[in-house]
Amino acid sequence: MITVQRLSYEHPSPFTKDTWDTLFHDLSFMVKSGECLGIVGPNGSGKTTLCLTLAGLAPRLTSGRIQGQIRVFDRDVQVEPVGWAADIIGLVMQDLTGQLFNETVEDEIAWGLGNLGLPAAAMPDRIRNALAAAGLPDGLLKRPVTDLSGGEQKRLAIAAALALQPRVLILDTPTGGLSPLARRILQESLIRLRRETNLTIVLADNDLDLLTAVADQVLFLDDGIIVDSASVYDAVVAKPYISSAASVFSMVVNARSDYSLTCLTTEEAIRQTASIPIVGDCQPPVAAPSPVEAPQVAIEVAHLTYSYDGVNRALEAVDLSIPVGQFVAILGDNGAGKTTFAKHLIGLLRPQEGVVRVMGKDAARLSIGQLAAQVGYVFQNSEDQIFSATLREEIVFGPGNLGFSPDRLNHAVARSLERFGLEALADLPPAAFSFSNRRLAALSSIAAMETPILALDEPTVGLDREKQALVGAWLSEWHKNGGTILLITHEMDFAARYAERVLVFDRGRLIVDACPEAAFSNASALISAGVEKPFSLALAEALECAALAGDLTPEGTACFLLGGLK
Amino acid sequence: MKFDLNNPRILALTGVMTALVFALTRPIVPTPIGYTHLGDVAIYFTALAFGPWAGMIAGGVGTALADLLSGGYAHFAPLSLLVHGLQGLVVGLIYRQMKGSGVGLFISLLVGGVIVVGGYFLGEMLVPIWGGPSGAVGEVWFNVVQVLVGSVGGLVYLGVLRAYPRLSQMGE
Amino acid sequence: MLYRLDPRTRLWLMALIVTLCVVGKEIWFLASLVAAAHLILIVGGVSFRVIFRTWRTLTILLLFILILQPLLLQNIGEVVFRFWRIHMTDVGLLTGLRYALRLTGAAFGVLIPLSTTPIQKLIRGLQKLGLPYNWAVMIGLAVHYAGTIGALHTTLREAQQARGWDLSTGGMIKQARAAVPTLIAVIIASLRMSDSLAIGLASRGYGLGRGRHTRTTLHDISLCPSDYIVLILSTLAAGFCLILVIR
Repeated sequence: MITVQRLSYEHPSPFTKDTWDTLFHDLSFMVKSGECLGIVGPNGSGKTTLCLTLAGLAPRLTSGRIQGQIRVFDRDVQVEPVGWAADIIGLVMQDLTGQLFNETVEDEIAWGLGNLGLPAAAMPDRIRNALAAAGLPDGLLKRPVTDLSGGEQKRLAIAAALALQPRVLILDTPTGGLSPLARRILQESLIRLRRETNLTIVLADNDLDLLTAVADQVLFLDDGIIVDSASVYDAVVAKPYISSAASVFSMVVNARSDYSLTCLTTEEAIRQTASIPIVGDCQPPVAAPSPVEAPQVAIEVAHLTYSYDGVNRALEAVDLSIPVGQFVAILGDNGAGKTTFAKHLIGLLRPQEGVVRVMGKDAARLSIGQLAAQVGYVFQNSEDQIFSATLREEIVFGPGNLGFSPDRLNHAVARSLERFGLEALADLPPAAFSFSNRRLAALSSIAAMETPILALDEPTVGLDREKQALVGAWLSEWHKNGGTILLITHEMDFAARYAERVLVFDRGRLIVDACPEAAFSNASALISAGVEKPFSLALAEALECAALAGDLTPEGTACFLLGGLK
Repeated sequence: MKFDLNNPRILALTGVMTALVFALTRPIVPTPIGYTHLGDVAIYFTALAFGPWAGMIAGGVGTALADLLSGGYAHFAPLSLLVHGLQGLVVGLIYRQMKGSGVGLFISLLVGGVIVVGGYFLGEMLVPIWGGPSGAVGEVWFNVVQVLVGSVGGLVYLGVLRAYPRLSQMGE
Repeated sequence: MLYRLDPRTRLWLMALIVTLCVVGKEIWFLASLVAAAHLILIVGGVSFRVIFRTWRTLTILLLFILILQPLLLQNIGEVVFRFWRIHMTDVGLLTGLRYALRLTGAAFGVLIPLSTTPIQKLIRGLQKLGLPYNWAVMIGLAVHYAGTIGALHTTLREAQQARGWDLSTGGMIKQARAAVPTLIAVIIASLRMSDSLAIGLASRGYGLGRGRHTRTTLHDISLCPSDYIVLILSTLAAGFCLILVIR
């Protein structure tokens, strides 16, 4: 049982001394024993801080000050000593680097038990039960933690928390960075946990399919309202940061107020729309005529093979050619070889077999610096790769290294700042920005290099829909101006919306290379590679309507549905 | 804040800074005795930013761990523990005493460098398993270069302070 | 064999050999210590590859001592060998050999626990010998996060190279300066890591044990009969050697 009364949180401004920024204000809610509260909100609304505050760890281990009261099973968490709550409140953070620090799976789970002083003889049973409760097999006990996949590590962190037999479990963005497949497995584990135990759960995540499946009620952190999960849809219509299904249906409902759709999850959306009589033209749209002259090739890869350890192939015999100006999405489960492939384009990895050509030149003969002038490369977790005293200096770093003239440099920096809406922050230290602004700062510093090719490794992970749309708009503009784009992503809707070609990697092999409509229809390949269908296509298939599949953007889908509603 | 390893925040900070020293004490250029590395940068940073105790632990334990796992120089670990521990401690003390001034920064880097060069020289001279007089004499110049490279740590500290203002709140 | 002994026993074997290396003077005695260390390692089941690799690392260092030491002692003892203005005396050469053997003995002595024990187990052994729990946790965390930070450092170097930053040319000091942006980025990321680790530690009850409980471990270590046999025999042998040396 959690009761929160008039809770406000302020944290010190990172830029000016002695000023405080309000994160959330005057929150009151209650979670009954055995219930589950979902929390959603855009980037920067304080989901993480709220989780830490409920566990009694913020502001004492972070910075900031609070007002109001939090009682968990009748104890005031902010008054009890830090660490008191370990066997009452389990906490699983978004960032696992601070959560998993032992060698093997069993040591990881046993670590917390040791702090509670549980006798060694009682440990194996507890460890096994916790592992099972988190949906992990017994066989993993002796495995090194680093061998586990991202999804398994997430569930291990949950197991380590459950082993302490808490009465409350707090999860901060458990789906962050997981592939669609791993997300669904996690969802199953949580549903089972709710069915089989009396755990009180707080689940902060913007994956609404997960929340509606698991939570009883949902708190909207940006305005502090709480709704029960059945009527979440009414609450999200006006909020741009939610799910694809919601954004499509909000457009439909906005246009046709007479028609009430109360659906939210992909599944439910499909079920409800199945009853809609489709009157639209069900012919696939005619494909745009392809250009007559052969386009220039931006990237050509022949028989590319790479292995990190000489035994397992991270890439095997990859062949492909990408013309200048194409927007390519690269999909696949964690560890499928996507990043390994992309690193070859900038010379961070050199082909062990085969050839990589960038703008017609053999990449093996070019230095990383020379390739950097051709390929702007955004690394995973780019928000942690920032080091300058001001954002302006950070952005100048790349183009400065490439030897831009002062005029061109100023122009590039100004354009980049404007593109990402960061002008107001230009003279502040970027490492002190919020997570999403640090990500945008990293993207803007690559954008300013004005390379003909962009390669981006999961640039939208952790960004809310509004920020994702900003990144999407930047990429489409880049694309419209003739730029070539390679985008590695787990966001199927994002890929379907922007890309004109989809590559799917599976265990080092390129198994699908097609236009999005065809690629996402290749069911067997998608299952094998852990890739999910985007919402629009799932809907199109459910309605057995090929025309819908012709335009996978939310606008296209909404437009089509509106046509069907007549 | 009192330096108490039972406080999770201080434990985490000390552990991670020790890890940073350990990670940066990876050989870049092997020299006849030992190797050149960026470990001193991390020691200077820790001592300047978080004071003598964190500097001492991160410097001593971090370099000792690096020696232990370097495959060949493991028995130098106790010497590194003493010398770099003292380096971190003294740099932290001086910088704190001089209230974080620019002069303080310069003096603490200088004294830290003298401790490293002198400490290794004396240790190798006096304790026979560390190579003896020839080792001590031979290594002086490598250690001088090492310390010069390490003094980049002063620049790095100022850079982090500017780029990450929260550092000044983290304290010890 | 060694692998079945308690970490503390392995540490004790190391301590004995290193002590004898410091105390011993005679060439034959030091040479037999080196041999004894090798014997323990080989009988103990340490692979030849590990031993060979250690020799390879030591080679330059040993040559350095063997050549430089006689040069420092050119005026003591009988001249054995003369070249231009350089004299090599018997005392100089023997002193060089002595230091080289001591260093070798110590290097292989510490290999006994190190090459046979995972570092986390070794920390557990040290804890049993009196290292406080919070220090043990701290060292364990340092070992773990050194791997994470090392990987991060590599990624950051790559990321900055991908932004056209040249790290590869120039002298050592210039290279060190060129590394500054990478170092700043890696330190900021480490500071964030420490913030999130503090939360990870507290949420799993670190600091809770004070006064309320004693801490426990899943896999505890304990001395068994074979440990006692090895401990007694090795101590007797070392004591015998010590008497021999001192006499």
